[in-house]
Amino acid sequence: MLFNSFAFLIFFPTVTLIYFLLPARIQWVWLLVMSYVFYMNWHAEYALLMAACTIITHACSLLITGAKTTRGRRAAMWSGIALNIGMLAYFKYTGFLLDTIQRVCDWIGIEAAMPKVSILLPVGISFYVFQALSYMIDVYKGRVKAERNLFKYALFVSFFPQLVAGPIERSSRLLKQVTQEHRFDWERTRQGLLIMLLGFFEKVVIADRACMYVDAIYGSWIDASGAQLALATFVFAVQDLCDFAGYSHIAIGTAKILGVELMTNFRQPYFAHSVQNFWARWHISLSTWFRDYIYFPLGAGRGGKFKQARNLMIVYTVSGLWHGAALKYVAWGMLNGVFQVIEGLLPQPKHKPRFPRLDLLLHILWTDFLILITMLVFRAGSLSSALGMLARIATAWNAPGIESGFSGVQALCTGVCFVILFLIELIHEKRRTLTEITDRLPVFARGTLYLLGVLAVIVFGVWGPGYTAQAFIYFQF
Amino acid sequence: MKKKIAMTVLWLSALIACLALLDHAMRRDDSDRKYSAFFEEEQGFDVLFFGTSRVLDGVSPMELWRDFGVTSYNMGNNSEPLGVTRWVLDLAMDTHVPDIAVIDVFYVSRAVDEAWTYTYRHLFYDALPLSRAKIEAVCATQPEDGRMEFLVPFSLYHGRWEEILAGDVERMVECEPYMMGGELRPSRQVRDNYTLTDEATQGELPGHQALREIAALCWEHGVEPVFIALPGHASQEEQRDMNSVARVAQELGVPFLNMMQVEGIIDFDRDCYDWQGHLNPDGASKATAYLGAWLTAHYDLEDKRGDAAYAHWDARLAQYEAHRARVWDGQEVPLDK
Repeated sequence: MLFNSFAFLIFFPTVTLIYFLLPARIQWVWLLVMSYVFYMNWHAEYALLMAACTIITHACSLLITGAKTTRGRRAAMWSGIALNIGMLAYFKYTGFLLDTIQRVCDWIGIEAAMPKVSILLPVGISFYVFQALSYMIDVYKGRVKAERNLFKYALFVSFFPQLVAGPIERSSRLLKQVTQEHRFDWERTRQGLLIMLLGFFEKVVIADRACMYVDAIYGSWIDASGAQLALATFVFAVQDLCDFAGYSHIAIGTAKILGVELMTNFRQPYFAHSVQNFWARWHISLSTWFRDYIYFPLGAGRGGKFKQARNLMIVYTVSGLWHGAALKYVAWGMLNGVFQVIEGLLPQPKHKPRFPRLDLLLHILWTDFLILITMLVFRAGSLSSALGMLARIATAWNAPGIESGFSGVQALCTGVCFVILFLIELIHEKRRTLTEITDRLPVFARGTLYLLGVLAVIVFGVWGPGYTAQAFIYFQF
Repeated sequence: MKKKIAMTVLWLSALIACLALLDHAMRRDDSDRKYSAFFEEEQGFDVLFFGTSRVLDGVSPMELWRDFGVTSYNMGNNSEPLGVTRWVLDLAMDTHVPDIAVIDVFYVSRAVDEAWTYTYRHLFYDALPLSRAKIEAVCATQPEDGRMEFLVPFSLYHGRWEEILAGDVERMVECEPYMMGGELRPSRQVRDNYTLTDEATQGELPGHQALREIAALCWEHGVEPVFIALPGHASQEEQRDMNSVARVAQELGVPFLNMMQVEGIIDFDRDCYDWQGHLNPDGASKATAYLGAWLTAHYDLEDKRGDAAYAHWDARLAQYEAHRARVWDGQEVPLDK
């Protein structure tokens, strides 16, 4: 079920209420059952895949622990990796692979007719497979002990707040938390609800409305003006952040109410001063996953600039593929890699800048400009469309535009929301939280502010039958 | 702890109050305007009219009051198939049980899901308070993924802020409370090559079973059902379908007043609003007069004119007549051929 659905509005309070009424020793069992109920709300049969992933990684972890030789431990780990990546590859990349082979055959003139396959991508498979793999590798590396209880481990893989779109947690943080006793806490609940409110604001008020404009312009990009395409790309950058960060905030707030602390997944990415810094702030749980389980094992920056560049390119190409089975995602990932390789090759300034704030601002703006280019590639229908759009932005800036269907009132509402978002991000960038700010207010003012926030989300949010609930963008990854 | 609980309760109460206010401010008022007089009426009704827009435009409760002293309400709704009318009747009887339920059979050939226009579903359901009967009706008439907006209209109308802020609000129907559910459509249009037929469609139509259920529901509540076909332009096929109701009516022992087959009730060249057979105010007056005479001749309906308990009906009648005079009486309405 979606977080922004009536079903979740009933599901979550019910689950929470019963969770805190249950005896401590069976709280985690309740969470496990409800996590599977949550997941099976989409396609019940795909819960079998999650169960298979759980059983395989759990068994392999026990084999790793029990193996007497390094070879045996390694064999167990690689078996687990192969089975899980195989499962992910089958569901996510079969169509892409066959299509690519067909294109290559067509290009070199070989007659081949690859079968057209249509495999439904199980929701969240990329997330829970990566989470399970991280656990198994951590067991292999000796960073964590293998969990003997299959069902407790199953809860770590399936914990519903972060199941379908992250954050991708590590077992060292999450496994113990989800299985230990939690008592109801007013302050924690208030903070959790506030984080959820921020998430809903980002998701249903900003992202889902912004997407109307972006869809209209990108859907008819051939007729759109360069200025419209540039604006739509900027709007998409905000939409993409709000969509995913919004979901993460709802997940973090939901888990917090249940007593579980999830990791921060977004840290004001558009305040980044370099592309490398951007990736230290954007989808942190995935970036650190790639860092810890691919980049470091490859050697990271050891062995000189060339090896570092190679490793970066490998990581970001894989990251592109993780985001989607299409050439444009590969290109998007590689572009991010290239920008970081270039950043690494540039000489470091020898002196401190004369105007550090201005220097920082210029770096931020330049980074955002580069990220906007990658965002365009990410959002475009295909790689060739992306190239066409870039050409149109460069050559048809003042061309007659198209009707976006976005009314003046909607544009005004979106603009105001962007300003509010900017202020919230600025508060967070100053290492302050919304709770800290609101706690300074008298109780009545604070309550009124919360009330206005909830009402704003309800009234201005895109939800209910008036809109076809756009699945969270990252659900498909 | 107690203080925190009290604060939470207070905050939730404030939230609920704000949502109630917003619900009131954001929702379309078409449904309330059409049905408010029905829900507010304390004396009950002698007759309730059900069916499609042919009833909505073709029967005037206020003229029935003026000329016969009969209290009635027009529950007609645009493009309403009989399968839905069964539920409208059920829900209406939750509030008022009339002596007679008059059912228009124009949409006897339409199944529930093919005919009832989305906006008109809201026109009916929005004014109804949430009840078990409403939930049953919504479940019976709406697809599973489209029920919430009828049970909680705010889930749809919260998005109207844009329309309201832009000042771009248009009414769906011209019903005011003093119309007692009916509406006036001031225009004239004629369909060429219009001929009557007394042939009837053979076999079962989707609405036949609904009529059986309607009759059973009426009898269960001690209500007399009457099936009617109002006069107005209709295709040969539509006429044959309506004529087929005679069979069902005979089977059930329910009167079927087929006004299509009665000559001279309306002037087909002047009394229709459009070629689809909706009646204009003149046509509605004639059809209502005929219906009133037929109902009072066949049923023991007390003339309540002059009864102090029904004084508000006279007040509404004055409003209705003023409105009718404004939009129709003495107006030169051109004939649109």
